[in-house]
Amino acid sequence: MKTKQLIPLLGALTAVVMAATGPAAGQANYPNQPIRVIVPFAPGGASDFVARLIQPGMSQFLGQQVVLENRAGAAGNVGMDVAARAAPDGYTIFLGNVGTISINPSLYPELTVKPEKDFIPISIVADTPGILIAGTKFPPNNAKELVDYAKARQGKVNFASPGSGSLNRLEMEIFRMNAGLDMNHVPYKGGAGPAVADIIGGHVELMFTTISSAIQHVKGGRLKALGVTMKERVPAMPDVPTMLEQGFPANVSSSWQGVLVPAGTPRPVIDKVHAALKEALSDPKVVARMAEAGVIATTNKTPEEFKAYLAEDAKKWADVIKKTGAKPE
Amino acid sequence: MDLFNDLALGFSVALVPVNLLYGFLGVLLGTMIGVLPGLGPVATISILLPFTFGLQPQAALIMLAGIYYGAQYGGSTTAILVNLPGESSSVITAIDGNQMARKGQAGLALATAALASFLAGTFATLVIALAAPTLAEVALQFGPADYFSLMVFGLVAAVILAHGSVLKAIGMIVAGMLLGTVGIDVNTSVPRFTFGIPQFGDGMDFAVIAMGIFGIGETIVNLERTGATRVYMQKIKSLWPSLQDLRAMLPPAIRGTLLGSALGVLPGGGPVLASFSAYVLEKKLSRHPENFGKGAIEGVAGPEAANNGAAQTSFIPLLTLGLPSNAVMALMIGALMMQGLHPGPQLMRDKPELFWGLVASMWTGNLMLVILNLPLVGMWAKMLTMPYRFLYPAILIICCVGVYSINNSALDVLIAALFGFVGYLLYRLQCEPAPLLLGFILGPLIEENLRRALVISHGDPLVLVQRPISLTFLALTAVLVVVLCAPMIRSTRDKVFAEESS
Amino acid sequence: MKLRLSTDLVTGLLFTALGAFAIIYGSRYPLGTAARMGPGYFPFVISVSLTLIGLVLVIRSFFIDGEKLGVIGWRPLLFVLAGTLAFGIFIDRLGLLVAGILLIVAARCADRDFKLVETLVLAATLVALTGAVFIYGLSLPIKMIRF
Repeated sequence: MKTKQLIPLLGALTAVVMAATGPAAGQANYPNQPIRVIVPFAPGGASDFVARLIQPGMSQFLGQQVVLENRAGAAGNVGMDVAARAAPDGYTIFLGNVGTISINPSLYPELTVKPEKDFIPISIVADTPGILIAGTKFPPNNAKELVDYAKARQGKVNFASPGSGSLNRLEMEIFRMNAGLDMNHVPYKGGAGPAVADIIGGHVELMFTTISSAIQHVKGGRLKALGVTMKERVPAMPDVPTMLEQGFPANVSSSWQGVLVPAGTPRPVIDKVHAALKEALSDPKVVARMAEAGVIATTNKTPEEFKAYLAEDAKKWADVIKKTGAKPE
Repeated sequence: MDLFNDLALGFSVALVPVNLLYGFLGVLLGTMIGVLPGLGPVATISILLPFTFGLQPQAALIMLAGIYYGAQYGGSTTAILVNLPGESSSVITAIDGNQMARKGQAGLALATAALASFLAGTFATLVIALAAPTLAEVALQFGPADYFSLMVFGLVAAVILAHGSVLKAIGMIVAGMLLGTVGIDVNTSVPRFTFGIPQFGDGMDFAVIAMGIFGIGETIVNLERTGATRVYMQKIKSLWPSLQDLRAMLPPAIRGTLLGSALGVLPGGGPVLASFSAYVLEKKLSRHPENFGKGAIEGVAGPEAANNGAAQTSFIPLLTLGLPSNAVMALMIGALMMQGLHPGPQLMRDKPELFWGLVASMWTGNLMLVILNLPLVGMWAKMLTMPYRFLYPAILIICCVGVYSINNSALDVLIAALFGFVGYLLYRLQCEPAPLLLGFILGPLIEENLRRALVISHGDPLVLVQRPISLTFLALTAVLVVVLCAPMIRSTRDKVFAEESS
Repeated sequence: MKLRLSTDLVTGLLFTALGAFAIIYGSRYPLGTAARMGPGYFPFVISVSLTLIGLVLVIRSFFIDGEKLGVIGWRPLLFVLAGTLAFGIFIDRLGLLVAGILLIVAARCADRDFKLVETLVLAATLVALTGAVFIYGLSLPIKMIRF
């Protein structure tokens, strides 16, 4: 009898003790140790750039050191894998992007990480518009002229990309699929630099790339811009029309960076990180620094908003990959 | 005198005490980290990059450039002292540099490297000041077909590197190229020879292979030796170059400087091609080619000058066009972006003090490198007199930690162990590892550019001979093959006759 | 003709084996044509060349007196490799302290004049130094002790 009564009591006691010392307590004083942000690309790249800009603001808001860890390799999959396996305690944060989160799962069948299951999205942090560029000797000056020009030379026009499975390649695949064009794909590696150099040198005709890697050359007259991939024109280049206004609504896409945490991270921690991101990205200095590089600082109102965005984004790229056969054979 | 004014402006920036200080700090830290095996310039800059973010743009850029030279020179130091080339361009330095060290001339080899680098640095700085925009235009003219032909030329030249069997050397180059195919194919995204291991997708890491073959493999070889031959280094002979040494190193250093400054402007394999074509050139010009590979001072002076000249002129595409020509320059762009700067013609026009300050700091940086390193030469050389039973465990553990820290990957350490075995085997089989490593570096570039050229030309191979640049290099390759084959045919003929008469 | 284990012969055999392996393993990658090379084209050309070079070396070794393959010193070979492998296996699991000490002890076992106390002192010193440089100095994500 006595023991039977004791059990629930003991249970209740343990529950109280657990609640006081267990995860809940951990959440209450989160963070009480340094937080690491996994950046799945090398220092000096676009992701690293964004991470380093938001690092001080986050650190200040959370009252803890925020340490960046660059884990580059396999198109960002190495870093994503490390982050997905980390303890879901809020002390490991992942800086994902359109490539790792939305494109790679459809592109690499052997990928063990399933972003929608293994991560909880918190917020987008940066958005970089895409731009369609061509060499100065290339006759067409806008998307319509390009379609006419390439139609008359099916299979003859060469376009570059920073890799077979890159966002920029898929953007071109969407474009040519909708316009009914046959163009020749010339993949590069090592980021946008080498591909852009060959377009400036006139060895390849055109490509989609991020505004950051092209804006200087467009302004310097070494490249021409045929269109941008935002819904609205980009303030830094007001005379370049959007793809949308030129009649290519499917070519509204962007290269985003966003923060995610491993699945299982408690809600209060997520909210705290979300607040920290909002704070870090409201600093006018950060916004201005990003803007100078052609990057738009932005956040989601709620983690749910980001989650919905990601679901749509991943579906969109999965469709494109399926339809265009951009997958490795 | 525009140039004079520009340079004066540059030096007025570079000589500001605080900039001098950061330049020195960069050179010092770069050297210290670059000396660690496995940590080449890219790794060193990545590690130190965050430290520069808090600085003023000028100081940051000057410090980064200093880190770059320092790391480069630190890498050469390791290559010379313990035969551990941490990055592709010091593979060549290691060949004769380490032989010199073993003969007790470590000091001389290090001093030669420092002086040759300084000469090249000075000249390349002038090249940047005088002709940067023109050279950048030339680099833009190089298309995929031209790179392919240039790399083929380099590969054929690599055969001359060997001082043993030519056939084995060719085999090693080809084996290296095969090793280079490991990873995800650029054109089709098909993973090749990755054996289902995701980390292999980006290919093998050069430093992992080099650390395995040279660091681990060499240690095994050394431990096999007994008694007197075990002593790593004979008595320290010459620490400082004599007048005669200076005379011997000057012409190779000048030729290396010119070669390096020219090839450095080209993206990709520029600096590697520079350092080993300088070596090949010296070996061909030398009256005693048999000394190469056994500690020829020309074999250190030429490649080191080329190496440093190329490291310097690889800034040209970045500064004038905003185009990074290699991984280090891509890092520099990142660093500049953090400062809110965007390299390119606009930067040169709008912020001349930054551009010219950097140019001037290149020279002061090189000067500091010499001032810093010449006194250290004695210390380094003395380190080698440490008993080998303490030296080799130290080399092994630094190699292992260095390899691990490249990608934070324990798998890399296991791969390095595998290549340690390979390195030992190669030694026993009297195969030289340098051609293997060059094949490994140039092979992927050859494939990539050939396929790119053919995709662009829609499958027409004539593009390789229609472009003047490409045609020139192919013609040079043909000449090289003739030069290579002539003595070979003669010697086999001699051999056949010798065998018949005996 | 008597079979000699010359370096040329062994090198040739190795090249041939490696080349043949690459031809067979690489046959799963589409070849394409010379004008439109598939992922398998370049590796195929290289592995065929390697095989041929290997065969030439093998054949030549029967006619030219090459250098003999010397005696293999098993002790340094096995101990150094074992030490490195141990380091690779344990660095993630147990941290630098254990992995480093294992490496140094194995490395010193490779030598003939192994002394236990000296080796342990050396191991402790080197682990402390590398820890100081890489973990403390460069703040690389390596753990000294891990369970």
